[in-house]
Amino acid sequence: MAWVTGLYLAYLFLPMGLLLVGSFGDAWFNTLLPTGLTGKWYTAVWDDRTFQRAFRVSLQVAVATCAITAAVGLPLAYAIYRTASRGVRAMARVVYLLPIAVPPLVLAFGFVLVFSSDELPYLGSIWVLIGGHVVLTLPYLLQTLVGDMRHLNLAELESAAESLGAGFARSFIDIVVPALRHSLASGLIMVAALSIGEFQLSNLVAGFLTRPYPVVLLQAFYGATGFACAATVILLVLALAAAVGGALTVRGAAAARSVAA
Amino acid sequence: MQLRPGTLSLLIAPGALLLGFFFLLPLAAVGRDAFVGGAFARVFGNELFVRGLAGSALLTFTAAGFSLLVGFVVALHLSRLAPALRGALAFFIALPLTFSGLIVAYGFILCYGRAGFVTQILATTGVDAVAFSGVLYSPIGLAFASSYYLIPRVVMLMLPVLVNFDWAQVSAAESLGARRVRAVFDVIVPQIVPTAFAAFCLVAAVVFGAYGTALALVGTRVNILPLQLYSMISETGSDFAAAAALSLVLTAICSLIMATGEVIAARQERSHAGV
Repeated sequence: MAWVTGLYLAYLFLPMGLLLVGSFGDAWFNTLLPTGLTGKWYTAVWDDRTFQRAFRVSLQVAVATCAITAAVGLPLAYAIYRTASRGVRAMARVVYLLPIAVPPLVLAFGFVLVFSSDELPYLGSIWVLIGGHVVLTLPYLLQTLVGDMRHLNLAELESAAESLGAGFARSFIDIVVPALRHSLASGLIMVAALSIGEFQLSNLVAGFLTRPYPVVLLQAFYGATGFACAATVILLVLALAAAVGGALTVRGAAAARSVAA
Repeated sequence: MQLRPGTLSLLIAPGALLLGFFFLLPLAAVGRDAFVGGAFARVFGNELFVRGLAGSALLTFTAAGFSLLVGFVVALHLSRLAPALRGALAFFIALPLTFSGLIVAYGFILCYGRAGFVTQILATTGVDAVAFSGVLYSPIGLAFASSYYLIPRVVMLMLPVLVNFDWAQVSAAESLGARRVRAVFDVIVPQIVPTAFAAFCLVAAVVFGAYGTALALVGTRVNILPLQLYSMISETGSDFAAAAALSLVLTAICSLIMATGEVIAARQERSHAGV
Protein backbone atom coordinates (compact mmCIF):
# COMPACT_ATOMS: atom_id res chain seq x y z
CA MET A 1 0.00 0.00 0.00
CA ALA A 2 2.78 2.39 0.95
CA TRP A 3 4.31 2.23 -2.53
CA VAL A 4 0.96 3.17 -4.12
CA THR A 5 0.78 6.20 -1.84
CA GLY A 6 4.40 6.97 -2.71
CA LEU A 7 3.75 6.79 -6.44
CA TYR A 8 0.59 8.82 -5.97
CA LEU A 9 2.46 11.55 -4.08
CA ALA A 10 5.02 11.67 -6.90
CA TYR A 11 2.14 12.03 -9.40
CA LEU A 12 0.68 14.76 -7.16
CA PHE A 13 3.84 16.80 -6.59
CA LEU A 14 5.73 16.40 -9.89
CA PRO A 15 3.52 18.81 -11.91
CA MET A 16 3.67 21.43 -9.14
CA GLY A 17 7.42 21.01 -8.77
CA LEU A 18 8.10 21.32 -12.49
CA LEU A 19 5.90 24.41 -12.77
CA LEU A 20 7.91 26.02 -9.99
CA VAL A 21 11.27 25.00 -11.49
CA GLY A 22 10.18 26.10 -14.95
CA SER A 23 9.08 29.52 -13.70
CA PHE A 24 12.64 30.29 -12.51
CA GLY A 25 14.36 28.74 -15.51
CA ASP A 26 15.96 31.00 -18.10
CA ALA A 27 15.48 28.67 -21.06
CA TRP A 28 13.88 25.25 -21.39
CA PHE A 29 14.21 23.57 -24.79
CA ASN A 30 14.39 19.78 -24.99
CA THR A 31 16.40 19.45 -21.80
CA LEU A 32 15.35 17.53 -18.74
CA LEU A 33 15.27 20.68 -16.63
CA PRO A 34 15.59 24.34 -17.63
CA THR A 35 18.98 26.02 -17.81
CA GLY A 36 19.88 29.27 -16.03
CA LEU A 37 18.23 30.90 -13.04
CA THR A 38 16.08 33.99 -13.55
CA GLY A 39 13.23 35.97 -12.07
CA LYS A 40 12.47 37.64 -15.39
CA TRP A 41 9.30 35.65 -16.07
CA TYR A 42 7.67 36.90 -12.89
CA THR A 43 8.62 40.46 -13.79
CA ALA A 44 7.20 39.89 -17.24
CA VAL A 45 3.88 38.65 -15.84
CA TRP A 46 3.85 41.49 -13.33
CA ASP A 47 4.43 44.10 -16.06
CA ASP A 48 1.89 42.62 -18.44
CA ARG A 49 -1.15 44.93 -18.62
CA THR A 50 -3.53 42.13 -19.53
CA PHE A 51 -2.41 40.05 -16.57
CA GLN A 52 -2.61 43.05 -14.24
CA ARG A 53 -6.19 43.68 -15.24
CA ALA A 54 -7.09 39.99 -15.05
CA PHE A 55 -5.62 39.76 -11.58
CA ARG A 56 -7.65 42.77 -10.41
CA VAL A 57 -10.83 41.33 -11.95
CA SER A 58 -10.23 37.98 -10.24
CA LEU A 59 -9.76 39.64 -6.85
CA GLN A 60 -12.86 41.80 -7.27
CA VAL A 61 -14.94 38.83 -8.33
CA ALA A 62 -13.63 36.68 -5.46
CA VAL A 63 -14.31 39.37 -2.84
CA ALA A 64 -17.81 40.10 -4.16
CA THR A 65 -18.56 36.38 -4.43
CA CYS A 66 -17.51 35.85 -0.80
CA ALA A 67 -19.61 38.79 0.42
CA ILE A 68 -22.72 37.69 -1.45
CA THR A 69 -22.47 33.97 -0.65
CA ALA A 70 -21.99 34.84 3.02
CA ALA A 71 -24.94 37.26 3.10
CA VAL A 72 -27.23 34.83 1.30
CA GLY A 73 -25.77 31.53 2.48
CA LEU A 74 -25.83 32.09 6.23
CA PRO A 75 -29.63 32.59 6.48
CA LEU A 76 -30.24 29.87 3.93
CA ALA A 77 -28.05 27.35 5.74
CA TYR A 78 -29.80 28.24 8.99
CA ALA A 79 -33.21 27.68 7.41
CA ILE A 80 -32.07 24.30 6.07
CA TYR A 81 -30.76 23.34 9.50
CA ARG A 82 -33.86 24.40 11.43
CA THR A 83 -36.64 23.39 9.11
CA ALA A 84 -38.67 20.25 9.66
CA SER A 85 -40.13 20.56 6.18
CA ARG A 86 -39.17 17.62 3.99
CA GLY A 87 -39.63 19.81 0.93
CA VAL A 88 -36.96 22.31 2.02
CA ARG A 89 -34.58 19.48 2.96
CA ALA A 90 -35.05 17.80 -0.39
CA MET A 91 -34.46 21.13 -2.14
CA ALA A 92 -31.27 21.60 -0.14
CA ARG A 93 -30.06 18.18 -1.22
CA VAL A 94 -30.70 19.14 -4.85
CA VAL A 95 -28.85 22.45 -4.45
CA TYR A 96 -25.81 20.60 -3.02
CA LEU A 97 -25.66 18.41 -6.10
CA LEU A 98 -26.29 21.13 -8.67
CA PRO A 99 -22.69 22.13 -9.47
CA ILE A 100 -21.94 18.55 -10.51
CA ALA A 101 -25.31 17.51 -11.94
CA VAL A 102 -25.36 20.57 -14.21
CA PRO A 103 -21.92 21.07 -15.80
CA PRO A 104 -20.58 24.66 -15.56
CA LEU A 105 -20.32 24.59 -19.35
CA VAL A 106 -24.10 24.14 -19.66
CA LEU A 107 -24.73 26.88 -17.10
CA ALA A 108 -22.38 29.13 -19.06
CA PHE A 109 -24.36 28.49 -22.23
CA GLY A 110 -27.55 29.39 -20.35
CA PHE A 111 -25.87 32.66 -19.32
CA VAL A 112 -24.96 33.35 -22.94
CA LEU A 113 -28.60 32.84 -23.97
CA VAL A 114 -30.16 34.84 -21.12
CA PHE A 115 -27.72 37.72 -20.86
CA SER A 116 -27.32 38.41 -24.55
CA SER A 117 -31.08 38.82 -24.95
CA ASP A 118 -32.65 42.24 -25.60
CA GLU A 119 -34.27 42.27 -22.16
CA LEU A 120 -31.04 41.54 -20.25
CA PRO A 121 -28.08 42.62 -22.42
CA TYR A 122 -25.48 42.23 -19.66
CA LEU A 123 -23.15 39.53 -20.96
CA GLY A 124 -19.56 40.59 -20.24
CA SER A 125 -20.52 42.64 -17.21
CA ILE A 126 -18.62 41.80 -14.06
CA TRP A 127 -21.90 41.33 -12.18
CA VAL A 128 -22.97 38.50 -14.43
CA LEU A 129 -19.61 36.86 -13.77
CA ILE A 130 -20.06 37.34 -10.02
CA GLY A 131 -23.59 35.90 -10.20
CA GLY A 132 -22.20 32.80 -11.88
CA HIS A 133 -19.46 32.37 -9.30
CA VAL A 134 -21.99 32.80 -6.46
CA VAL A 135 -24.20 30.06 -7.88
CA LEU A 136 -21.23 27.71 -8.40
CA THR A 137 -19.76 28.20 -4.91
CA LEU A 138 -22.88 28.64 -2.73
CA PRO A 139 -23.55 24.86 -2.44
CA TYR A 140 -20.08 24.30 -0.92
CA LEU A 141 -20.59 27.05 1.67
CA LEU A 142 -24.06 25.70 2.54
CA GLN A 143 -22.69 22.21 3.10
CA THR A 144 -19.92 23.52 5.36
CA LEU A 145 -22.31 25.69 7.40
CA VAL A 146 -25.13 23.16 7.78
CA GLY A 147 -22.61 20.47 8.72
CA ASP A 148 -21.12 22.71 11.40
CA MET A 149 -24.57 23.67 12.78
CA ARG A 150 -25.40 19.97 13.23
CA HIS A 151 -21.99 19.35 14.76
CA LEU A 152 -22.35 22.22 17.25
CA ASN A 153 -25.90 21.26 18.09
CA LEU A 154 -26.79 24.88 17.57
CA ALA A 155 -30.50 24.47 18.33
CA GLU A 156 -29.68 23.70 21.97
CA LEU A 157 -27.55 26.81 22.40
CA GLU A 158 -30.34 28.86 20.92
CA SER A 159 -33.14 27.45 22.97
CA ALA A 160 -31.05 28.32 26.02
CA ALA A 161 -30.81 31.92 24.80
CA GLU A 162 -34.49 32.03 24.00
CA SER A 163 -35.48 30.58 27.37
CA LEU A 164 -33.66 33.58 28.81
CA GLY A 165 -35.92 35.83 26.76
CA ALA A 166 -33.88 36.58 23.64
CA GLY A 167 -35.93 37.06 20.47
CA PHE A 168 -35.17 35.40 17.16
CA ALA A 169 -33.14 38.21 15.61
CA ARG A 170 -31.25 38.68 18.85
CA SER A 171 -30.30 35.04 19.22
CA PHE A 172 -29.39 34.79 15.51
CA ILE A 173 -26.94 37.68 15.78
CA ASP A 174 -25.64 36.93 19.28
CA ILE A 175 -25.51 33.13 19.19
CA VAL A 176 -25.68 31.74 15.65
CA VAL A 177 -23.26 34.04 13.84
CA PRO A 178 -20.49 33.98 16.49
CA ALA A 179 -20.76 30.22 16.96
CA LEU A 180 -20.31 29.73 13.22
CA ARG A 181 -17.43 32.14 12.68
CA HIS A 182 -14.83 29.41 12.16
CA SER A 183 -16.81 27.37 9.67
CA LEU A 184 -17.93 30.57 7.94
CA ALA A 185 -14.29 31.62 7.62
CA SER A 186 -13.09 28.26 6.32
CA GLY A 187 -16.10 28.01 4.00
CA LEU A 188 -15.44 31.47 2.59
CA ILE A 189 -11.76 30.69 2.05
CA MET A 190 -12.88 27.74 -0.04
CA VAL A 191 -15.34 29.96 -1.92
CA ALA A 192 -12.54 32.43 -2.66
CA ALA A 193 -10.22 29.64 -3.82
CA LEU A 194 -12.86 28.14 -6.11
CA SER A 195 -13.73 31.57 -7.50
CA ILE A 196 -10.12 32.48 -8.25
CA GLY A 197 -9.50 29.16 -10.02
CA GLU A 198 -12.82 29.07 -11.90
CA PHE A 199 -12.34 28.73 -15.64
CA GLN A 200 -15.14 26.75 -17.24
CA LEU A 201 -17.94 29.28 -16.73
CA SER A 202 -15.82 32.44 -16.83
CA ASN A 203 -14.25 31.48 -20.16
CA LEU A 204 -17.60 31.85 -21.94
CA VAL A 205 -19.23 34.52 -19.79
CA ALA A 206 -16.47 37.10 -19.23
CA GLY A 207 -16.21 40.15 -21.46
CA PHE A 208 -12.97 41.33 -23.02
CA LEU A 209 -12.29 43.74 -20.14
CA THR A 210 -13.62 41.46 -17.41
CA ARG A 211 -11.59 38.35 -18.18
CA PRO A 212 -10.45 36.82 -14.89
CA TYR A 213 -6.97 35.44 -14.35
CA PRO A 214 -7.48 31.79 -15.45
CA VAL A 215 -9.07 32.85 -18.75
CA VAL A 216 -6.08 35.06 -19.58
CA LEU A 217 -3.72 32.36 -18.36
CA LEU A 218 -4.87 29.95 -21.07
CA GLN A 219 -3.50 32.32 -23.73
CA ALA A 220 -0.09 32.23 -22.03
CA PHE A 221 0.15 28.46 -22.61
CA TYR A 222 0.84 29.12 -26.28
CA GLY A 223 3.82 31.37 -25.52
CA ALA A 224 7.19 30.96 -23.76
CA THR A 225 7.40 28.07 -21.28
CA GLY A 226 8.92 30.20 -18.51
CA PHE A 227 6.21 32.83 -18.80
CA ALA A 228 3.44 30.23 -18.77
CA CYS A 229 5.01 28.54 -15.74
CA ALA A 230 5.34 31.79 -13.80
CA ALA A 231 1.78 32.83 -14.61
CA THR A 232 0.50 29.39 -13.54
CA VAL A 233 2.58 29.37 -10.34
CA ILE A 234 0.85 32.60 -9.26
CA LEU A 235 -2.49 30.81 -9.43
CA LEU A 236 -0.97 27.80 -7.67
CA VAL A 237 0.36 29.97 -4.84
CA LEU A 238 -3.07 31.58 -4.34
CA ALA A 239 -4.68 28.13 -4.08
CA LEU A 240 -1.95 27.02 -1.64
CA ALA A 241 -2.45 30.13 0.48
CA ALA A 242 -6.18 29.41 0.63
CA ALA A 243 -5.54 25.81 1.67
CA VAL A 244 -3.16 26.90 4.44
CA GLY A 245 -5.63 29.56 5.59
CA GLY A 246 -8.43 27.01 5.64
CA ALA A 247 -6.38 24.48 7.62
CA LEU A 248 -5.33 27.14 10.17
CA THR A 249 -8.96 28.21 10.62
CA VAL A 250 -10.08 24.64 11.25
CA ARG A 251 -7.22 24.14 13.69
CA GLY A 252 -8.11 27.42 15.44
CA ALA A 253 -11.70 26.27 15.75
CA ALA A 254 -10.65 22.93 17.25
CA ALA A 255 -8.36 24.69 19.74
CA ALA A 256 -11.08 27.16 20.72
CA ARG A 257 -13.50 24.30 21.28
CA SER A 258 -11.14 22.26 23.41
CA VAL A 259 -10.46 25.35 25.56
CA ALA A 260 -14.21 25.98 25.89
CA ALA A 261 -14.78 22.36 26.85
CA MET B 1 -38.76 25.34 18.93
CA GLN B 2 -39.95 25.73 15.36
CA LEU B 3 -39.28 28.70 13.14
CA ARG B 4 -42.40 30.56 12.11
CA PRO B 5 -43.23 30.08 8.41
CA GLY B 6 -42.77 33.83 7.86
CA THR B 7 -39.26 33.80 9.33
CA LEU B 8 -38.39 30.70 7.33
CA SER B 9 -39.42 32.24 4.01
CA LEU B 10 -37.54 35.42 4.89
CA LEU B 11 -34.37 33.40 5.47
CA ILE B 12 -34.76 31.43 2.27
CA ALA B 13 -35.89 34.26 -0.03
CA PRO B 14 -32.54 35.92 -0.92
CA GLY B 15 -30.84 32.64 -1.75
CA ALA B 16 -33.84 31.36 -3.66
CA LEU B 17 -34.00 34.58 -5.71
CA LEU B 18 -30.31 34.37 -6.60
CA LEU B 19 -30.51 30.71 -7.56
CA GLY B 20 -33.65 31.43 -9.55
CA PHE B 21 -32.08 34.27 -11.51
CA PHE B 22 -28.59 32.88 -12.05
CA PHE B 23 -29.41 29.19 -12.21
CA LEU B 24 -33.00 28.30 -13.07
CA LEU B 25 -33.46 31.10 -15.60
CA PRO B 26 -30.34 30.18 -17.66
CA LEU B 27 -31.25 26.51 -17.47
CA ALA B 28 -34.81 27.27 -18.57
CA ALA B 29 -33.43 29.27 -21.52
CA VAL B 30 -31.36 26.25 -22.58
CA GLY B 31 -34.44 24.05 -22.22
CA ARG B 32 -36.58 26.42 -24.28
CA ASP B 33 -34.08 26.57 -27.16
CA ALA B 34 -33.50 22.83 -27.19
CA PHE B 35 -37.02 22.04 -28.31
CA VAL B 36 -37.01 24.32 -31.33
CA GLY B 37 -37.29 22.74 -34.78
CA GLY B 38 -35.95 19.21 -34.35
CA ALA B 39 -32.69 20.15 -32.62
CA PHE B 40 -32.44 16.76 -30.92
CA ALA B 41 -32.79 14.96 -34.24
CA ARG B 42 -29.88 17.02 -35.62
CA VAL B 43 -27.72 16.20 -32.58
CA PHE B 44 -28.45 12.48 -32.59
CA GLY B 45 -28.23 12.28 -36.39
CA ASN B 46 -24.71 13.75 -36.39
CA GLU B 47 -22.08 11.02 -36.54
CA LEU B 48 -19.74 13.28 -34.53
CA PHE B 49 -22.13 12.90 -31.62
CA VAL B 50 -21.80 9.12 -31.54
CA ARG B 51 -18.01 9.37 -31.64
CA GLY B 52 -18.07 12.10 -28.98
CA LEU B 53 -20.23 9.95 -26.75
CA ALA B 54 -17.84 7.03 -27.20
CA GLY B 55 -14.84 9.27 -26.39
CA SER B 56 -16.59 10.66 -23.32
CA ALA B 57 -17.58 7.19 -22.14
CA LEU B 58 -13.99 5.94 -22.51
CA LEU B 59 -12.63 9.01 -20.68
CA THR B 60 -15.22 8.75 -17.90
CA PHE B 61 -14.85 5.03 -17.20
CA THR B 62 -11.06 5.15 -17.33
CA ALA B 63 -10.79 8.25 -15.14
CA ALA B 64 -13.39 7.18 -12.59
CA GLY B 65 -12.08 3.59 -12.43
CA PHE B 66 -8.45 4.66 -12.08
CA SER B 67 -9.34 7.32 -9.51
CA LEU B 68 -11.40 4.90 -7.46
CA LEU B 69 -8.64 2.30 -7.44
CA VAL B 70 -5.83 4.70 -6.52
CA GLY B 71 -8.04 6.73 -4.16
CA PHE B 72 -9.14 3.63 -2.29
CA VAL B 73 -5.64 2.26 -1.79
CA VAL B 74 -4.30 5.66 -0.72
CA ALA B 75 -7.22 6.17 1.70
CA LEU B 76 -6.69 2.67 3.09
CA HIS B 77 -3.03 3.41 3.67
CA LEU B 78 -3.81 6.79 5.23
CA SER B 79 -6.40 5.29 7.55
CA ARG B 80 -3.69 3.10 9.11
CA LEU B 81 -1.27 5.99 9.77
CA ALA B 82 -0.94 8.06 12.93
CA PRO B 83 -3.52 10.89 12.96
CA ALA B 84 -0.90 13.67 12.70
CA LEU B 85 0.77 12.16 9.62
CA ARG B 86 -2.62 11.32 8.13
CA GLY B 87 -3.77 14.92 8.63
CA ALA B 88 -0.62 16.29 6.97
CA LEU B 89 -0.91 13.98 3.96
CA ALA B 90 -4.65 14.65 3.66
CA PHE B 91 -3.87 18.38 3.50
CA PHE B 92 -1.62 17.90 0.46
CA ILE B 93 -3.94 15.41 -1.18
CA ALA B 94 -6.85 17.85 -0.88
CA LEU B 95 -4.93 20.63 -2.66
CA PRO B 96 -6.08 19.83 -6.23
CA LEU B 97 -9.73 20.18 -5.16
CA THR B 98 -9.56 23.94 -5.53
CA PHE B 99 -6.99 23.97 -8.35
CA SER B 100 -7.98 25.39 -11.65
CA GLY B 101 -8.03 22.69 -14.33
CA LEU B 102 -5.47 24.84 -16.14
CA ILE B 103 -2.78 24.29 -13.51
CA VAL B 104 -3.25 20.56 -14.01
CA ALA B 105 -3.11 20.82 -17.78
CA TYR B 106 0.12 22.80 -17.96
CA GLY B 107 1.74 20.75 -15.20
CA PHE B 108 0.98 17.60 -17.16
CA ILE B 109 2.39 19.02 -20.36
CA LEU B 110 5.64 19.68 -18.46
CA CYS B 111 5.65 16.11 -17.09
CA TYR B 112 4.32 13.97 -19.92
CA GLY B 113 4.25 16.19 -23.03
CA ARG B 114 6.48 15.82 -26.10
CA ALA B 115 9.54 17.25 -24.29
CA GLY B 116 8.22 16.49 -20.81
CA PHE B 117 10.32 15.46 -17.84
CA VAL B 118 8.96 11.92 -17.57
CA THR B 119 8.84 11.52 -21.36
CA GLN B 120 12.54 12.35 -21.65
CA ILE B 121 13.50 9.99 -18.85
CA LEU B 122 11.51 7.19 -20.46
CA ALA B 123 13.04 8.01 -23.85
CA THR B 124 16.50 7.17 -22.48
CA THR B 125 15.18 3.67 -21.73
CA GLY B 126 14.05 3.24 -25.31
CA VAL B 127 10.42 4.33 -25.10
CA ASP B 128 9.23 6.22 -28.19
CA ALA B 129 8.77 9.81 -27.00
CA VAL B 130 6.33 10.78 -29.74
CA ALA B 131 4.07 7.79 -29.13
CA PHE B 132 4.25 8.21 -25.37
CA SER B 133 3.39 11.90 -25.39
CA GLY B 134 0.67 11.19 -27.96
CA VAL B 135 -1.20 9.23 -25.30
CA LEU B 136 -1.49 12.36 -23.15
CA TYR B 137 -3.58 13.98 -25.87
CA SER B 138 -6.00 11.05 -26.16
CA PRO B 139 -9.06 10.24 -23.98
CA ILE B 140 -6.87 7.85 -21.94
CA GLY B 141 -4.30 10.59 -21.32
CA LEU B 142 -7.07 13.03 -20.45
CA ALA B 143 -8.34 10.47 -17.94
CA PHE B 144 -4.88 10.27 -16.40
CA ALA B 145 -4.72 14.06 -16.09
CA SER B 146 -8.32 14.42 -14.84
CA SER B 147 -7.62 11.87 -12.12
CA TYR B 148 -5.38 14.56 -10.62
CA TYR B 149 -8.43 16.37 -9.24
CA LEU B 150 -10.70 13.29 -9.02
CA ILE B 151 -8.52 11.09 -6.77
CA PRO B 152 -8.68 13.66 -3.90
CA ARG B 153 -12.48 13.50 -4.00
CA VAL B 154 -12.36 9.71 -3.72
CA VAL B 155 -9.83 9.86 -0.87
CA MET B 156 -11.89 12.43 1.06
CA LEU B 157 -15.05 10.33 0.71
CA MET B 158 -13.43 6.99 1.56
CA LEU B 159 -11.15 8.15 4.38
CA PRO B 160 -13.82 8.70 7.11
CA VAL B 161 -15.36 5.30 6.36
CA LEU B 162 -11.98 3.55 6.54
CA VAL B 163 -10.80 5.45 9.63
CA ASN B 164 -13.93 4.41 11.53
CA PHE B 165 -13.61 0.85 10.30
CA ASP B 166 -13.37 -1.85 12.92
CA TRP B 167 -9.96 -3.39 12.22
CA ALA B 168 -10.51 -6.13 14.75
CA GLN B 169 -12.55 -7.86 12.06
CA VAL B 170 -9.52 -8.06 9.79
CA SER B 171 -7.32 -9.36 12.60
CA ALA B 172 -9.98 -11.96 13.33
CA ALA B 173 -9.96 -13.08 9.71
CA GLU B 174 -6.17 -13.21 9.73
CA SER B 175 -6.07 -15.20 12.95
CA LEU B 176 -8.38 -17.68 11.27
CA GLY B 177 -5.70 -18.16 8.64
CA ALA B 178 -6.75 -15.71 5.89
CA ARG B 179 -3.87 -14.04 4.09
CA ARG B 180 -3.62 -10.26 4.43
CA VAL B 181 -4.86 -9.48 0.92
CA ARG B 182 -7.62 -12.03 1.27
CA ALA B 183 -8.69 -10.58 4.62
CA VAL B 184 -8.86 -7.09 3.16
CA PHE B 185 -10.94 -8.25 0.22
CA ASP B 186 -13.33 -10.44 2.17
CA VAL B 187 -13.87 -8.22 5.19
CA ILE B 188 -13.39 -4.61 4.11
CA VAL B 189 -14.56 -4.55 0.54
CA PRO B 190 -18.19 -5.64 1.12
CA GLN B 191 -18.59 -2.97 3.79
CA ILE B 192 -17.21 -0.13 1.72
CA VAL B 193 -18.69 -1.03 -1.66
CA PRO B 194 -21.65 1.37 -1.33
CA THR B 195 -19.37 4.33 -0.50
CA ALA B 196 -16.98 3.29 -3.25
CA PHE B 197 -19.83 3.15 -5.74
CA ALA B 198 -21.11 6.56 -4.64
CA ALA B 199 -17.57 7.97 -5.03
CA PHE B 200 -17.27 6.39 -8.47
CA CYS B 201 -20.54 8.03 -9.57
CA LEU B 202 -19.53 11.41 -8.18
CA VAL B 203 -16.18 11.57 -9.97
CA ALA B 204 -17.70 10.08 -13.14
CA ALA B 205 -20.31 12.85 -13.23
CA VAL B 206 -17.63 15.50 -12.61
CA VAL B 207 -15.36 14.31 -15.39
CA PHE B 208 -18.17 13.63 -17.87
CA GLY B 209 -19.23 17.28 -17.87
CA ALA B 210 -15.80 18.93 -17.57
CA TYR B 211 -13.99 20.64 -20.44
CA GLY B 212 -11.39 22.97 -18.84
CA THR B 213 -8.43 20.62 -18.51
CA ALA B 214 -9.21 19.01 -21.86
CA LEU B 215 -9.36 22.36 -23.66
CA ALA B 216 -6.05 23.48 -22.18
CA LEU B 217 -4.37 20.16 -23.01
CA VAL B 218 -5.60 19.42 -26.51
CA GLY B 219 -7.68 22.35 -27.73
CA THR B 220 -10.79 20.92 -29.35
CA ARG B 221 -9.01 18.08 -31.17
CA VAL B 222 -10.14 15.21 -28.96
CA ASN B 223 -13.69 14.15 -29.59
CA ILE B 224 -15.59 14.28 -26.31
CA LEU B 225 -19.06 15.75 -25.80
CA PRO B 226 -18.16 18.77 -23.59
CA LEU B 227 -15.51 19.94 -26.10
CA GLN B 228 -18.03 19.50 -28.94
CA LEU B 229 -20.50 21.64 -27.04
CA TYR B 230 -17.81 24.22 -26.27
CA SER B 231 -16.95 24.59 -29.96
CA MET B 232 -20.62 24.94 -30.83
CA ILE B 233 -21.08 27.73 -28.27
CA SER B 234 -17.88 29.64 -28.95
CA GLU B 235 -17.94 29.56 -32.74
CA THR B 236 -20.06 32.25 -34.27
CA GLY B 237 -22.91 31.34 -36.58
CA SER B 238 -23.29 27.85 -35.18
CA ASP B 239 -26.52 26.02 -34.51
CA PHE B 240 -27.56 27.27 -31.04
CA ALA B 241 -30.66 25.08 -30.94
CA ALA B 242 -28.50 21.99 -31.45
CA ALA B 243 -26.08 23.29 -28.81
CA ALA B 244 -29.01 23.64 -26.40
CA ALA B 245 -30.15 20.10 -27.17
CA LEU B 246 -26.62 18.78 -26.62
CA SER B 247 -26.49 20.75 -23.33
CA LEU B 248 -29.59 18.96 -22.13
CA VAL B 249 -28.17 15.59 -23.14
CA LEU B 250 -24.98 16.35 -21.22
CA THR B 251 -26.93 17.54 -18.16
CA ALA B 252 -29.21 14.50 -18.28
CA ILE B 253 -26.25 12.09 -18.34
CA CYS B 254 -24.41 13.89 -15.51
CA SER B 255 -27.60 14.09 -13.39
CA LEU B 256 -28.35 10.42 -14.02
CA ILE B 257 -24.87 9.36 -12.91
CA MET B 258 -25.18 11.57 -9.81
CA ALA B 259 -28.66 10.30 -9.01
CA THR B 260 -27.50 6.68 -9.20
CA GLY B 261 -24.77 7.42 -6.66
CA GLU B 262 -27.22 9.28 -4.42
CA VAL B 263 -29.73 6.42 -4.40
CA ILE B 264 -27.01 3.94 -3.46
CA ALA B 265 -25.69 6.21 -0.70
CA ALA B 266 -29.20 6.79 0.68
CA ARG B 267 -29.94 3.06 0.70
CA GLN B 268 -26.71 2.47 2.60
CA GLU B 269 -27.64 5.12 5.18
CA ARG B 270 -31.02 3.48 5.69
CA SER B 271 -29.55 0.01 6.12
CA HIS B 272 -27.05 1.39 8.66
CA ALA B 273 -29.83 3.15 10.54
CA GLY B 274 -31.72 -0.13 10.62
CA VAL B 275 -28.88 -2.01 12.32
